Amino acid sequence: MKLVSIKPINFRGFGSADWIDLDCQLVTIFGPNGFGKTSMAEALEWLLYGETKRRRRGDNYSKLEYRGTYANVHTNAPVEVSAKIRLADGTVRVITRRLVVGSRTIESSETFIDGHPADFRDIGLVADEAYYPIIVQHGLQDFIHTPPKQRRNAISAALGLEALVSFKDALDRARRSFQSTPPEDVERARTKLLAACQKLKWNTHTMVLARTWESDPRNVDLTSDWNTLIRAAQTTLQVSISNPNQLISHLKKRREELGARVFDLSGLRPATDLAQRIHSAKKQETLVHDAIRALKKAVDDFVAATASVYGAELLSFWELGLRLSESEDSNLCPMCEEPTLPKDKRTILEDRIRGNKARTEAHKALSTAVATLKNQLTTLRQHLGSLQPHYLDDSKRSTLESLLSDIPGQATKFLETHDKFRTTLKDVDIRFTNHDATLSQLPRALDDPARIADSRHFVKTLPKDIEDAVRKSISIAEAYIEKFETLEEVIGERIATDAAVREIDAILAGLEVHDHIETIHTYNNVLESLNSEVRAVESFLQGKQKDLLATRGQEVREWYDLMNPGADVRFIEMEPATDSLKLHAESFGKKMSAPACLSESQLNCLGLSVYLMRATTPESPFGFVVFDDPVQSMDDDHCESFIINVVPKLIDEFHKQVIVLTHIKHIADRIRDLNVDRNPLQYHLEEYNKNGPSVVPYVRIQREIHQVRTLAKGNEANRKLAVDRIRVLVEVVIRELYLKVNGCPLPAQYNKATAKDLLPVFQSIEGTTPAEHQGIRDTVSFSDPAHHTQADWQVPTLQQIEPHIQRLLQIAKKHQLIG
Amino acid sequence: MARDRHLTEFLNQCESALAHRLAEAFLAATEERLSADEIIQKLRQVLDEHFQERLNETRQH
Repeated sequence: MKLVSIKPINFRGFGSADWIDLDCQLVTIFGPNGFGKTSMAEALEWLLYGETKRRRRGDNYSKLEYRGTYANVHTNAPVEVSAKIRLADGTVRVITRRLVVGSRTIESSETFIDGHPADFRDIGLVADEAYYPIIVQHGLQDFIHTPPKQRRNAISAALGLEALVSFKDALDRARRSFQSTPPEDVERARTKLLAACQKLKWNTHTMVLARTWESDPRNVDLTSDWNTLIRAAQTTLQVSISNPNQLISHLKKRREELGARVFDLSGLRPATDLAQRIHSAKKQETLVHDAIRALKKAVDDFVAATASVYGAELLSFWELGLRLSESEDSNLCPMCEEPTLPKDKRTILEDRIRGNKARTEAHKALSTAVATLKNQLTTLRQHLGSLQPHYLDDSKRSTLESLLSDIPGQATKFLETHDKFRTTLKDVDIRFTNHDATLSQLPRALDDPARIADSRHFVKTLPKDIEDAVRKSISIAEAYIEKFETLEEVIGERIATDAAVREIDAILAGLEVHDHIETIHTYNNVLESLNSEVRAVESFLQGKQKDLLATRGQEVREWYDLMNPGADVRFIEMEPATDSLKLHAESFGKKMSAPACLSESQLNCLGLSVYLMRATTPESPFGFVVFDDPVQSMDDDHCESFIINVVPKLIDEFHKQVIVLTHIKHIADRIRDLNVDRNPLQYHLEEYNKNGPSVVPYVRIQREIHQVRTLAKGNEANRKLAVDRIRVLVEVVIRELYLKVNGCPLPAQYNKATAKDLLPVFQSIEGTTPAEHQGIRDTVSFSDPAHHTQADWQVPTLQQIEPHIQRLLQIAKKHQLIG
Repeated sequence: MARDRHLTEFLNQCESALAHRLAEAFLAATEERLSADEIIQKLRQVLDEHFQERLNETRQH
């Protein structure tokens, strides 16, 4: 594919550019620094690759700083670059890339072919590092002055191994991450294993295992380590069972037995469901309070009923009298036989008898309430009683005090709480016994008006007393748990220091970390697989590098030699190694490091050579090479070698279209002069403004004439300069005419020749006339600087200068040097 | 890069499922134009998943 023209819009230094014609084998573009040469090269680079090397490098430094830098700072979107390209089959297509700025100003791009969204790969434009056709000066030494690994990567990319190298690098970094920061499960497992090692070392059968794990928790062998632990358990227990759960159960039982020999805590241990028991007691307390409330109501009802009641004898008497009276209509009393029982009296007596029946009911209800409360209190009493553990007898108290005698106060603190627990529950039990007795007496006491007040007071204060009893019981139970836990820990430590217990604990510790051993074992396997993958990729990569360097490395050397013909100090070869690639040079046959010993110019040549090797890769879809200031740090000889050896080789041997951007005018001229038969295109970048540079086709004579005319219209100093520039114009006309007629520039002997020196050359050029010879002689004489020192010499006027300009213009037109 | 012949050649001769899985994640990440650090994160994710799967397998046995 060849470039026909390019149009960068709002891209970097360019604003709204027109199509720039590039449809030629050779194009030179000359422009001062900062006039958009690199913008033009990068426009092509971005169009084809979707990014530039400079931007990629910048993003690695700071994405924030480089974000948005594809766009011209003075113009708005859209940012796009288009190129007309000629494909191998001769068809011309228009390819375009447009910048897309997404959320959080993240940049991407979309591509078009002939105005329709499409992938450039559809027309065979594979943007591979191995084909890179854009050679920018600032990137030439990227791979030279860089760490060995990055150099290896850059060269590998140039050899077409970029994906493989990137994959290997990513794999290696992921492996390092996986190794240095393992998954959380693995970290936890390692911690558990290290903790287990503290116990494992107390058993002779597991001691070695402890040392192995302790030296590095990665040293885990699932099968072998697990067998060691099972064997240790079997030997210690003298059993042949191999089921781990059974072994663990046996070991725990054995440990308990051994522990009890030191001090048996089992009787003192609070019930395992103590929390549930406390909860049940609290729940029962609520029921007791409900029952007390019911009792209180029954007492009140009973007392009220009793207050309106007459003696039992009287009630029986009235009941009998009413039954004996003749009829309800008679007012005759059966006792005194007098009319003393009128109807209203009879009603009064009947009410009195009914009131007695209510009292009987109230009494019944009272008895029921008392019975209920007694039952609820009995249940609560049982719940509270269940909180208490066994108590220590005197013998065990002494053993405990003696066992903990080296820790002042430890036994005493526990025993104080232990004793308080005992007395509290005893006190509560006595209270409940008393309450039960009082409740049993309650109905009878209420019959006695003298005891009613006391009875009611008892019922009234009972809730508070129950509440107090429950609170104290629970509070002391909780305090006991705390003290017991401390004691258990201390006693546990004492037990654990027992040699026999330690041996058991060692095996238990090992068996209990089985899951963690599995975790580490699995992790180790994955890590090992990963290491194998990295080694396999590296080995494959090195093989490929070796093969490719055998052929493509030779190409690099050939390009280098073209720019350094016959040099005694030079680059000689690239040598691949693991994660590095050495660049060798030689000085008069002695081998040395190229990056360390070669000059900047030589290293630039080496950089160019690597780029040229990749740009001329046979599979490359790109039929052009763009150079951005390729010879910037080269001396004249290297520069000349580049111009006379490299450029023609690219055009003639590799059939590449060559585009050279340079800030050195004579380089552009020299390339054009040496390739005039190829009819090269030459541009000049000028008048750079916010919209970018003006890209102007460059015709030397026209430019010189324009310059002289401008000066001739100026003041005296400018006109003096115009006269000097006429000499230069004469020189340019003669050189251009020679080039046109002979197809090659003037021989090197004329490189520094003046206009006067060139007069004989002009006369010898075929097609020139004697009149022209005379005219040129006059003009050379007119502009001879020797006149300037003559006493009567005056600076010529515009009218005196113009005829000479006209003369040179006519000669140039006649010989078709300008249009 | 997805169609890179050297990487394809390597994978064709490589039998490791892990390598293929990592390569798949790598190619997907490069297609998305993720940064180098983001690519490593993706591969790390694959490794962590692979580890968990192996661990579960070990425990099931």
